[in-house]
Amino acid sequence: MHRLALTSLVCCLVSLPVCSADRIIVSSEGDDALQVMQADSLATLSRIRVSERPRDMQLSADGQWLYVACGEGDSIDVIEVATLQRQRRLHPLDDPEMFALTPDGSQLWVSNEDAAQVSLLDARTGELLAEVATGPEPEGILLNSDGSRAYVTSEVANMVHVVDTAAREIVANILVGNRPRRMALAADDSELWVTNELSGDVSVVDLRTAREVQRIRFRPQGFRPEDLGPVGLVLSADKQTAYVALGRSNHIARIDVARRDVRDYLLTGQRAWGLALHPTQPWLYVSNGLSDDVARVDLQRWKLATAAGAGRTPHSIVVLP
Amino acid sequence: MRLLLPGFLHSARVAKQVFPALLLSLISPLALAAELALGYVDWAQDPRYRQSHTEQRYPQAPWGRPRAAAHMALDEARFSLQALQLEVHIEHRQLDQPKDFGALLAQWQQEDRRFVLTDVPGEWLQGLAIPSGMTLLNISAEDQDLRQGQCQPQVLHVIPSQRQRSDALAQHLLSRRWRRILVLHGAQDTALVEQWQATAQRYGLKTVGRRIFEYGNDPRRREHNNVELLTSGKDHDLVMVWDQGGEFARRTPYSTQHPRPVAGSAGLTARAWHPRWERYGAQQLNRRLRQALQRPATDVDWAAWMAIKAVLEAAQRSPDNTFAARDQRLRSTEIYLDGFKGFRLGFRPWSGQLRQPLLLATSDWVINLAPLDGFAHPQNNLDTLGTAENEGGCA
Repeated sequence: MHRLALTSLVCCLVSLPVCSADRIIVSSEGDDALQVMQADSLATLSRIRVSERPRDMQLSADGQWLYVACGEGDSIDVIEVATLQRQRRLHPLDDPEMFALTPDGSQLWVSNEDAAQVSLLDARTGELLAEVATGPEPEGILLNSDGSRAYVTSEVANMVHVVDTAAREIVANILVGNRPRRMALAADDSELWVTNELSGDVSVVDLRTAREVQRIRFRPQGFRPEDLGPVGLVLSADKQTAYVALGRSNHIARIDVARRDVRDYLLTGQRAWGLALHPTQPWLYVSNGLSDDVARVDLQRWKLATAAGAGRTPHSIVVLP
Repeated sequence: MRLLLPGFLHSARVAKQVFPALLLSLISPLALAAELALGYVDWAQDPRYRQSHTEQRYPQAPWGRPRAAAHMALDEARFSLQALQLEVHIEHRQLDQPKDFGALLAQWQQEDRRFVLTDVPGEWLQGLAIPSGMTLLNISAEDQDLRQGQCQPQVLHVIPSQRQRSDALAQHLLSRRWRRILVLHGAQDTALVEQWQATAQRYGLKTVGRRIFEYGNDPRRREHNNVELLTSGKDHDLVMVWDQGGEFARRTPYSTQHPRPVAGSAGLTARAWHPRWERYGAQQLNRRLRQALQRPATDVDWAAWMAIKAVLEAAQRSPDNTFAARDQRLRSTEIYLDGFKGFRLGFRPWSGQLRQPLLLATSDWVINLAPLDGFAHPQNNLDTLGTAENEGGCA
């Protein structure tokens, strides 16, 4: 632990380009800003002004660009990673919340919460290429690895829409739990995992049959089922472990993906919701929406390593390359 | 309003004799479309909806008919209903007199229209003979009697009871340590006052005085119609004014003898919904409701929307398409109803009342959400609002 921190510190002091992934960036909904933090200590390094209400963020595949959806700014701001300067805005968009980049980085699929649709945009110009109507309040959006399918949750219709990205139309509607939010793909893209904020569980969907096959439930100690509000969901690089942020029960859960079984829980902060894994270190970052902080979890010891203030209502976290 | 399947699904249904295998592979394992027929009844002469009343925009009274909110709930479910091949139709009937109600229900039962939203005064429901195999969802009558003494197992109450509202207020007063309460009410408001007294007893709030107000400006009756005189005398922490009409209550704040806050039917009120409620996705719902209703949404609008949403949720998660299975699901403790108020809602088995948080609000903002932190119940914290199982109900 100490050696790791020291190495990272030394390497950052000596020569920036050699040491990678030593910074994270956090969007703060209430501040209209991004906060750049040290990846290990979570010390704040700088702040970047962006358009109003930044939420979801995605890195381009080449790691050069960071896209930031700014809901009330009706824009997706594009930040150059090398300089951390905002280079352009894709604007005007209708209240963008979550989005996904196509594998080649040329297009964006964006959920427009108020308009009950997802739109396809040119990632360079922001030009609108297509719109697909969805159930009310589309939220999470995820592309499979070859980009042929987009999965969209509708919080109100309690479904996942499966969009054929070439035909740009819905090919299946899958009923899941209540108020579905975020998703992750498992088992070579044949399984879709979905967090259901209101029913407080995770739906496992078999994408070959387009049906929900299992529900994973949570029971962190000292909380009732109604306190749960799972939102954030990430899978480890080897796809063996899933991490779920359990909202108002202030815990995260670790799940064995193959067994679909909750292994353990950890308290991280108030309304734990955003999650991000470090690409090389055994670290998980958690944004806590009600205590306005970001926590770093040491996954080897399954312990909270450190936490630090991250502006008002931290939403998403990205580890900078 | 009839929710139609899109063209290709429609023609596929016609062609299902010819291409059963194709249909199965294309659409869903449920090859046959199921139907769900809903009823919606209100009263043409309902005084609560007179324009002269609705345009006053009293905090807890309707600001207009809520029917568009019910249809909006159906529209929101369009995708899920299509995926399940469930065809839903709401028939609206506006009655001229209460005596037609029984006949209408009998007719609807014959037509297999078994879930009915009722936007009628409480007296219409009291002692009503409801045909078997039907469930009514009350969206506007708050009368405590309907949940306790006159309780009917076939009626579910989506709108909060008077007791839920007064309990919610009491939690806020306790959290502020405002325990000495001066109660004002009209002669016609005894039902509200009775509920308040039960609440005050439950939460240990002290009634320092109880005075009956009269409407009007007659100077000879000023002891009864002048707020300053009515609030003079013994000191208190808060003035609780109960006024079903709303006309007296609205002139109470800032007219009191002492500088004391006002709650009840004016000032701080306990609401099922509020146009400025923003948490838990409420901002989006308020935008949609405002568009559907062409005005801000209040309690009754939310209840109409919630009632349809509840029935659709039950139908979608029901093991089969019979009324019995859907009704069981609707009343089950397993159901997850999303009211955009942050808790999972469901119906109490003993009174048919929808468990729900209430918004403690002024005219333009939500100050607090009940149940407040620290008010706990052994089973479900939402049961700190409203009558408990052992206080009598339908059982």
